[in-house]
Amino acid sequence: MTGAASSSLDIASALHERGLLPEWASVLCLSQSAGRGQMRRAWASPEGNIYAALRLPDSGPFATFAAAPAIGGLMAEALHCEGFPVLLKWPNDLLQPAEGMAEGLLPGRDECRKVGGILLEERRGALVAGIGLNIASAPDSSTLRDNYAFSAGIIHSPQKAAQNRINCEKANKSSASEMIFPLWKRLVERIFSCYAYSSDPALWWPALAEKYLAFRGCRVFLADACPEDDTMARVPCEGIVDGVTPSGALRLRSEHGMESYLGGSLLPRQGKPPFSGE
Amino acid sequence: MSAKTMEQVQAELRGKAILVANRGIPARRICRAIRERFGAVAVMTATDVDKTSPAASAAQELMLLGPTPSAYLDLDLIISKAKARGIVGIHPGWGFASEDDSFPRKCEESSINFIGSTCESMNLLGNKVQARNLAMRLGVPVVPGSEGAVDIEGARDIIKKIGLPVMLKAEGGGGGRGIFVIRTMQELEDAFVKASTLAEASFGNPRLFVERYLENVRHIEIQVIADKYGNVFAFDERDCTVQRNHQKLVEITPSPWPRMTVELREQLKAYARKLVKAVNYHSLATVEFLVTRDGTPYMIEVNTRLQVEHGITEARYGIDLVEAQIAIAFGAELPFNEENTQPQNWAMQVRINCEDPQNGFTPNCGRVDRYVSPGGPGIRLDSNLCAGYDFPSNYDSAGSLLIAFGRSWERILGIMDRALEEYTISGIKTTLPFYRHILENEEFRKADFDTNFVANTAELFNYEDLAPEGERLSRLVAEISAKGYNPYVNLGKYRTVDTPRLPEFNPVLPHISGSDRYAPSPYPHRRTELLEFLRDSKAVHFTDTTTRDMTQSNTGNRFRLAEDALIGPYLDSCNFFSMENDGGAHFHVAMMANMTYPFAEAQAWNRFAPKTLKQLLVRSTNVLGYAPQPRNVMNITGEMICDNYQIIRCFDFLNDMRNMRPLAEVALSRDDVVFEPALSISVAKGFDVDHYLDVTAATLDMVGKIAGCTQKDASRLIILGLKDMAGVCSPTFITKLVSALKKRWPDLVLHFHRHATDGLFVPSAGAAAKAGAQIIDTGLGAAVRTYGQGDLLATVAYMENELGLKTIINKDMVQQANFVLKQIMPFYDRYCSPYFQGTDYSVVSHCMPGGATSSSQEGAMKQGYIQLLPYMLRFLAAIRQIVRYHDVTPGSQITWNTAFLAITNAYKRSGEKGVQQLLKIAETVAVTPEEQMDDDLKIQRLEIYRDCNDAFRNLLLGKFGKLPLGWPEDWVYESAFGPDMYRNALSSRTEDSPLDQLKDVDIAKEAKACADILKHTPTQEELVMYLNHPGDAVKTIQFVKKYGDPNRLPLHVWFEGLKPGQELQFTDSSRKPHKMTIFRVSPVTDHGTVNVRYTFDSTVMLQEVKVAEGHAQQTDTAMADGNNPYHIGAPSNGDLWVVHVKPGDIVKAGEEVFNISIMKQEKAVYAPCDGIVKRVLKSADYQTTRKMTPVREGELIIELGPCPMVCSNPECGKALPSAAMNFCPWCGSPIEK
Repeated sequence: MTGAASSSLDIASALHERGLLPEWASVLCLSQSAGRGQMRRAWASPEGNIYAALRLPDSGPFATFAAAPAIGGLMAEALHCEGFPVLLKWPNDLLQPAEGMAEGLLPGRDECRKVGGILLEERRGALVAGIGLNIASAPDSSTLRDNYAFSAGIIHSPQKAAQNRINCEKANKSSASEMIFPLWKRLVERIFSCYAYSSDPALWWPALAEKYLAFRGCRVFLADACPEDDTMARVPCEGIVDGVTPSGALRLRSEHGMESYLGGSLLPRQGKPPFSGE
Repeated sequence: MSAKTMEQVQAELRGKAILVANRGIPARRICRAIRERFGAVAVMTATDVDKTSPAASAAQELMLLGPTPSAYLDLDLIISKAKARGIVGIHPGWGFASEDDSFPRKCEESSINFIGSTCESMNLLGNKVQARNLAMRLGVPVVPGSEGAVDIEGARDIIKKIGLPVMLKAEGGGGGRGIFVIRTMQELEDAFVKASTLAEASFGNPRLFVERYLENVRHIEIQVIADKYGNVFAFDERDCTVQRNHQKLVEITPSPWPRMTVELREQLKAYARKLVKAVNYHSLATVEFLVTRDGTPYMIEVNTRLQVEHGITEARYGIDLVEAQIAIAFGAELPFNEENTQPQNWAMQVRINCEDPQNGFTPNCGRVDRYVSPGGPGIRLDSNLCAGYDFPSNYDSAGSLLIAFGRSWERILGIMDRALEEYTISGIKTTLPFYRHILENEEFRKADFDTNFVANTAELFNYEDLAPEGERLSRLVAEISAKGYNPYVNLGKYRTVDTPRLPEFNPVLPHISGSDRYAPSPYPHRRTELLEFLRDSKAVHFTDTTTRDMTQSNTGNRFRLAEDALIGPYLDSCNFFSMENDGGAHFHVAMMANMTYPFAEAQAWNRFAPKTLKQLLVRSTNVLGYAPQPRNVMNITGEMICDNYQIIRCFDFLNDMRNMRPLAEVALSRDDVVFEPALSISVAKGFDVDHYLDVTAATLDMVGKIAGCTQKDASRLIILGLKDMAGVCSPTFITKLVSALKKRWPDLVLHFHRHATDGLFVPSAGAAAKAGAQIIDTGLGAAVRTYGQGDLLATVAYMENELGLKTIINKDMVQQANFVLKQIMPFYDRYCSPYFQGTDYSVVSHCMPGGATSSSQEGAMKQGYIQLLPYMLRFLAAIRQIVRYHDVTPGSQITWNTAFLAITNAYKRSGEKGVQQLLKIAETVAVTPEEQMDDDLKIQRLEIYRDCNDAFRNLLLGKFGKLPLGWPEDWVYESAFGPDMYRNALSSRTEDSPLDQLKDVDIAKEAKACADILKHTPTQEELVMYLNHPGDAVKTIQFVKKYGDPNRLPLHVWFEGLKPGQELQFTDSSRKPHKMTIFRVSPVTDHGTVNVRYTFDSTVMLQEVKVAEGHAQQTDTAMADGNNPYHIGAPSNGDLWVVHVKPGDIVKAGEEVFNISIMKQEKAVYAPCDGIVKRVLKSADYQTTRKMTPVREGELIIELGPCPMVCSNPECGKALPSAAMNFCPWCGSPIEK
């Protein structure tokens, strides 16, 4: 654990180069001066939230393109165990309905809050997940990049106990470390056990990712989608989220039938009911 | 309600619809019972992916559940559809919702009969904690542990009571998931959190209980069935001890364990009946026990459903449990009692899963290419597989259940063994080969195992998972056919699919009479007797070289073992002294192009031609390779040679006999082999009869030293080879040489070898024999071309009729062998040696030996220098008078390369004129004595070797051994090493044997390296192959693993493949015949592939073959060359989003150069070495442009160049355009050099 740092991923990278970052080791920063998201987008990182880097093993889904939804599914599972019902926006953003909205399927863009994000970086043979969770604060919409997908929100729990625990921990701001550290430790333990004791390495993770998959059964728009069978193409497409394939691709049901995509930015399509394809 | 009879239930159900809410094997199994016993309509649920599964064929109707793979769990959906269809009963099968205790309740609410028990009794028995409490109440022993779920403190208390080790088990778990073993108290806390998390994640219930962990136990279970009227029947036990991670793999009834007594069996059955009766359970149930080594049972759980392994109980009793289960659900009375239900059989089931045991049993899915199911007496197969089935990834990996049954344990072991051999599933990995291995295991056969048997028996995983050889070979044929040429013979694209073919190869093989075939060889096989026989014989003897040197020289050694086997039996009956069938380049080419193990080839020869001595040629220190081998490699190779060959001919191109010593030591130590050192013979100044007498004396001295005898005695221990490798010795010269040798060592047996290139083979061979050489090398007339040996029958006729000599050759048999060979040769002529035929008397000037003439001349032609070939040969003729050694491997390569490089470089520098000039110099120098040379010529002659390569320089330094006529003159060094270096070269010359320089290799280390590549421990033969030619050895070993023995394929198919419609019949290595016909080869796709559709035996197969580079890649995308460290390619498909460098940048090894994003995963790519960026083929800067560039895996993104000099001013550090600069052109600072 560190105090202020440039970014937990940088520290993980430095540790790895010195051979000090075994698989499943993690780095937790209390704040970051240069937190980053995908493509070096800035990730606002004031004190109070979780900014962690977790070294993943080089096997199972983590050796494939499926790494992102796999760690997304594990993270969602761990957060559920802690009482936070997050959903997984394929491949690995963590969403919750805005406070006060109903649980379950996310209705639309305006009602969703992004409460956490995961960035996977493979550097010198080590795959490290940078994990940011908004525990205490979330950036204001005005500070987000243009054409952002979802407003940011703070993670919350419908279970009083869990919410109280976090509120109580938040109240005791004097020692952010005392609050963040145990929570992160529990999350990592849960992620690890869930991974390590899954008897069926090929099949556990799509099930897990699908269990928490956001917009399942909803109509979505996928910009710059990369079809699994034509990896050089980037096309816009629309369809109903069906699930995740073992290769990590998003399965969409569209007018053309079932299709799977390896990449693209996903947005819920508003105003239209799911079309009936059957 | 009164009990119904079976007949009543049958009448009630006839024509009614019964639903199986399941898929795959259980659904098929249950549908069978519904149809065959009740005449009811079998309806099966099916999601979209399962609509066309093999199992679905068992149903009369499908109830479609839509695209969602998990719909089998959607009870509300299933029940509402069932109601709409008028279903009268639902069978849940196993897995899916079979243990969901809400299922019977929901059925009841919809007035559908649930084929199982009630919600309440399922809950009472199916819940582990409840079942355990019940057992304790009834006095059934259970594993000591907590009563119900506990927290950490509770767990600690229990452990204090019952002791360690213990297990933490999930209350809602099953099938071995969620179990943690704790051996020390310290582990408790940590394990508890993990187990609880996992339990929550897996079963939605975090509660855990604690149990004593029992070691060395067997898993024994009792099948029970009960009706609604309190009747209960317990069957004999099933032994499910062979497990992996608590997943059963093999199930056996009755238990073959010697400690399974009648008393124990009755006790277990009594416990089982008691439990089921206590809760008024009806339907099928299984009570599972762990039994310790001393026979103490502990009840562990009860399964309230039909189980996967129910089939073995059915096979033991000859009953149908599913039928009984259905009947009971509809109110029938239990049909079994102790009188009418007696055990008759033993039965064993193995679960064939689509998993790869060697890779942690990972499930795999995909198309089943070939499917051949076992059958016959004692076999039952419940499967969800067929040929062409695309095994889905959505569900569990169960492919089939194979049951063997019979009257005893030994019998079912035999039946299962046989059935597993019969069973073929290709295209996906299955557990089949793993079970074959289990069946071979002694502990398994003795039934001496516990539940950790699989985990603790590593050798179970040590097997090769190979498709049958016939099928693998059919893939090879498909590949050759699609390409039109065989890429493995290494002759380039020598034909296309459209090239006209030779007629099919169906050789006519004349009958060999028994008297010829079984007449013993006239030659004794022990060394002393053999040499005695040769010395005393008044006849001339012959070695046949047809299958080695003759075809090596004429057709580049592509002559295969397959054709050897055709003519071998004829050759074996010709009364040859020996047959030279291996050595020289043949050993290497067997691997490089014929994909054949060379020593396996030798063993095959010794089987199909057992009578005649086999002869092999060894290149002194190089043994069977092209560079000197360390002593220990020579020894290990030598031993293997002597095990398979009886005449070991050894030559050294420098006639440096010291180089032969390690091999001579091995060969002379055995009396079943004859060592034949051979003199390399050329005709040139200095290489005269006296010179060769000296060499012979040195050879005999070396032999004498090893054998501890005099030179004279040594001459009686060996055969001396006279090896005129180019065919340059005139009859006169060889007469002189043989006569002189005979005069000095009258007992020395001489063996003459020459080539036919000069056209004077027959008179020379005759002259050698007439002068006293006892053995002559010849070959079959049908294979006489330019470069190999001359014709045997012509030589024999000349000797007998013209010279009055005697031979013992069986000429009729030679004619027959010749007839067979005539049918073989067209293929080799056409595809292996289409160039440079016809004798060439100029060989006496340029002296390129045997096959080297054709291969080097072809080399010149293929590199576009055919117009320079006459000059090269003239140059050769000249320089071999300057530096003198013998033109045989590796000398011939050195000479040829020297000439080739000199002429082509002279041509590049100054055209034809330059070449003429160089030739004039070389030819003048060759004939001008030093004292007559003017100063100009002395300067000009330095041109001669200026372009030579390192091999020639090493020769000059003595690194191959002592030159036969001493060191060349100093100016040769000046020419070859240049004016600055040649004095160093002169002073570093050595006369030591190259053997002294070479350190032994670490053979264990090499074996390890070889094993790492092959993924198996190499056999001794594979290791020797690897030590001699690592690259080609690996190629052949991997080829044979992938395709099998290519010698099983006929000659035309090996070179040309099949055309569509043409039938191929071949036999595999186990002599099984196979048939193959190609239907169609599809047009070439954009990716450069074609699909070959063919029948193999009776299965339709599809093989994708890459026949060309893909257009898309060729035109659009440059791919990184994996062997070029300066090429940096994309590590995977994805989006390139940032490139950090631009052309001209200097990068250091390890510096990040670009980054790729795929599925939100960013992959940094680093410079593999220092260098300057030459080209950036694709670029991106997402942060500025918001654009990413799609890239393909392996695509070249950045090309580096060698790092140039950089400015030494740290502020600048830029690359200098030229190393000669004194000041930096960028910053002006002086350059430090």
